[in-house]
Amino acid sequence: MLSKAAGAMIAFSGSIASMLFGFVAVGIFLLLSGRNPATIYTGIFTGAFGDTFCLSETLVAATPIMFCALAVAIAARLGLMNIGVEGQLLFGAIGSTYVALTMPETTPSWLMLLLMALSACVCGALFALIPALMRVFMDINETIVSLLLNYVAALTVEYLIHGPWQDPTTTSWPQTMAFPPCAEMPHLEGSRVHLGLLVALIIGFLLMLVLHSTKFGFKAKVIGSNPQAALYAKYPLKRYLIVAMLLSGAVAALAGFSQVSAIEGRLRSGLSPGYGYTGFLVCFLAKHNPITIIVVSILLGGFLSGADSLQLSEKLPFATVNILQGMIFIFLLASENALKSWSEKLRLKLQAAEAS
Amino acid sequence: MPHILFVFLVICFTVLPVYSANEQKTVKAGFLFVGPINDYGWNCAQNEGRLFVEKKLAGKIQTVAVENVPESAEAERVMERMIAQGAKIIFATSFGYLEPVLKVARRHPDVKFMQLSRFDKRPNLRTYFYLHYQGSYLAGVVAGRMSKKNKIGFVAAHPVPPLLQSINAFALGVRSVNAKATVKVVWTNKWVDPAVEAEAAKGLIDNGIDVLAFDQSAPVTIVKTAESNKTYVIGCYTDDCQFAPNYWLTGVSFDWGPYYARICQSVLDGTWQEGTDVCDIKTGNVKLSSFGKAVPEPLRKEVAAAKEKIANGSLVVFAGPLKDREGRERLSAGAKPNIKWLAGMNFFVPGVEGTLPKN
Repeated sequence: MLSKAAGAMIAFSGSIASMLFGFVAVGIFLLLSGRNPATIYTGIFTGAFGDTFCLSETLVAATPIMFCALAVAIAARLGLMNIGVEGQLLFGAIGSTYVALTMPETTPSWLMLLLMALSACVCGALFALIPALMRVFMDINETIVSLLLNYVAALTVEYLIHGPWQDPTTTSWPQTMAFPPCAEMPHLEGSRVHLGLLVALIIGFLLMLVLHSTKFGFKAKVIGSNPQAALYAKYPLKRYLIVAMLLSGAVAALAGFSQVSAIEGRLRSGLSPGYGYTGFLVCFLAKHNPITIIVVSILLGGFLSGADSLQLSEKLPFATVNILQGMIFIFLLASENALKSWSEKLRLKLQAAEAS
Repeated sequence: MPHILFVFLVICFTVLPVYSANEQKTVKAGFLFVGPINDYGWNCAQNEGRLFVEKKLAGKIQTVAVENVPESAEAERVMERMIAQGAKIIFATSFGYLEPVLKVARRHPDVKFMQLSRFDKRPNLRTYFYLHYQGSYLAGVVAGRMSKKNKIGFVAAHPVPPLLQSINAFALGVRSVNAKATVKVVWTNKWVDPAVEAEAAKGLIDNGIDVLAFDQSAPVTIVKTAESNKTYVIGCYTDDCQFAPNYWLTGVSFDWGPYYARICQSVLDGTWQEGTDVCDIKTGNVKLSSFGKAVPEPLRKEVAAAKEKIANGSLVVFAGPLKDREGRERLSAGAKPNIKWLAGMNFFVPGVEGTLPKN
């Protein structure tokens, strides 16, 4: 039997190779367009992790991605594809905005934030309940439903900021009034890093514990990987699916809450440049493992926030930066799978050689 | 174990001590653009202003720019990055940047900020307004004369004061030469959205308009839609007559360069101050684009004369008494508008059709 360490080594080198492959492939594209890939890559990395400011901005971008990826992971554990985290995020933002705009300005900050978070969770969870109920009782694919509901959520935000919640003081500009100071989450001194990051980290570790060392986690895993067996074992399948979607929606909603409270200070359009979809990607890159999700979110957050420094230092046009991001994503995903099957074959071969 | 790999990479990137070389001989100016600089419109005109500064003040001012910066907290990060790279003055060239600008300006009292089209007070914030509407009035004169059906369309982005000024001035220009004509407004609620813009333009054309005006960041879609539907078109922000060789009438375009160069020079001289600037036809920042071949010579002369009168102050576009389309008096007789009044505009003048979202 091949030692566990050797197997891990092969998987590890496979991941490294897939990443390198992605960067080399994009590097060729950069060379062809007359750029030096080395300076571009150093540009991204210094823009993401080069100093405390860059690092703090990376963490700011990583926070909502982390929430969303964790939300996807909860549902994915039960075999549910919740691609509606984007919409649940927006409904979370709506929920906390409602509280921030209606509670008196003299509310103590802790109470205000708590109520905003609760309201966000309720809104996000209820919004996630729609695809969950449709899946459980009508057997309608939750991927499609939750994806389509994202548009409903985005348009609901547009309706609110163009209509009933529009700021009466700024003429016709689509946004709500600024939140009172008590509705602003505490920040790390001198940066935009906020309490939401801590909450996301705690949720990540809690999720790890719940999924790997509780009965709930175990049953969830069984339901996710083998629903037939779960049915046979008389697990309360429907209840688990619904609870998972509710939890997933609530966690995604916290991303919306932290964005409106800590970053924007109001509800406005363009609140999320696709954090939900990025979170979905992160969750799959991280194989649904909460701890890995935290790390990958930070890496991807750095990649997203570091890229605009390319426009500044390398004078790359936005379109090129965008293509660069897209290509690296694609190569990471594609080459990871290709190399995984290759490393798996290698592992089996080594095992066979060892056995003989 | 993939996560070991990621931890390893994070450590690599954090420890990797790569610092960009620090040259601090010139003053750095940062520009935020809300869309792509090759949009043949708003951002293109803004970027030409930036390139003018680079050329005029070569060796003294160095510019950096970021395109497609959303009008949200994303803009904060971009500005912070510019400042971290040594930018001493930042031009926020779109309406919605004010809120992020205020946040960043509070954190960096040593950096100077230029915000377009908005009012606010901070010791390190200067705002600047553009009287696009003066050009719109002249374009309205052309449209009013050229319309045979007396129905003119207007596709507009957001119902914000600068655009309401343009629409109202355009309608006043139309009505000054053609009392029967109406201007039908359709909102897109997007600075740039080619699909929605084309649909709006098409809808207006199907409704029987024969001149199409608009105020969208990227003009090409609408100009081309008008040309292919044999409808006269009034351009916006840059001179785009190449896209409508047969149906181009004229347009309102910008020349930001001299103004931006003057502001940058004041930073170099140490004379930069908070306050408010107005860029208009008189200062030469707002211009009328070239006339299309359909515009007859007498009309060109008429418009040139009106332009002269606006420049020397004898023709005031929004002159009292001015009533809105509901009949309420907005300017009393003899009153002249100031920037505050213009920046709070929230009504339509008679002759404009279409909805105006409530405030």
